[in-house]
Amino acid sequence: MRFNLEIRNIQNSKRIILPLFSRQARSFGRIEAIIDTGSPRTILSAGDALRLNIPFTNFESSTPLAGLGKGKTPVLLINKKSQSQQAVGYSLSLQLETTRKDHSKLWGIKPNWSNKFTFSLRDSEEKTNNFTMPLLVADVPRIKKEGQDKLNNAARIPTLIGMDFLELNSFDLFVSLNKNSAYLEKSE
Amino acid sequence: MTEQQILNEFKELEADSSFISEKSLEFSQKYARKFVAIKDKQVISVGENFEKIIEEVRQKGFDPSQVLVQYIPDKEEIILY
Repeated sequence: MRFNLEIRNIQNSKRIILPLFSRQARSFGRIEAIIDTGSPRTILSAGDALRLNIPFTNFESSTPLAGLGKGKTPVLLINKKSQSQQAVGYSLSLQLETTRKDHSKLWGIKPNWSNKFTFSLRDSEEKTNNFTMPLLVADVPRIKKEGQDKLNNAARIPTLIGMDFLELNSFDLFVSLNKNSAYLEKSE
Repeated sequence: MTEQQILNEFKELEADSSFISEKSLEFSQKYARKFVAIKDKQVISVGENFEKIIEEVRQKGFDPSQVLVQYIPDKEEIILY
């Protein structure tokens, strides 16, 4: 199964683009992601997270990432909690103004890699295919606390498709800049 | 959402993305160091503050999840991720 990529000039540079569609509950929407084999992890950008109205309070903090813009960028792990945990979380947020870190302590939640982000890709036969995988998302509320400039800087960086995307979904990546051709092929 | 609706989303995203690429030189002259919001090959909002762009997109009656927002560097700026 093949998924065509686009090689296009974005932000003054040639980039390999993967269009995808988020099917995450209450955060449906288009994403223009950049294939970045220099990144070990796939990261939903601050800009896309804001556009898609990602519910940041539903996720727990993960290790900040170095190398995304200036300094380190705080990120969250997309980590689907049970309905009861979500309800408790919202309640605590309102009544006690606890932080996500506090929620994590209260619930004893650790990153759970079996919980995943859901999205669609369009294959070369014009059919949609659904995938799920763990994903990091820029922690917009924490970035905002460091100032509007910091958020605007973070929003310049697009969603990045890292090596984990290829590995976890069994994709092979083929690129020929000379032939202006790039695609992902799903290994059977 | 039906498969056809999602396929339409892909087509519109592709069209708007191509539009920005085709206009990259013009945009880097007009909108350097700003964010540009594109919907149906039309510039619907421009500014330096990302959150204000999203707010303006909503005020104009568009759903931000269906809008492409991209930072436009100036001509000599290259962004490394």
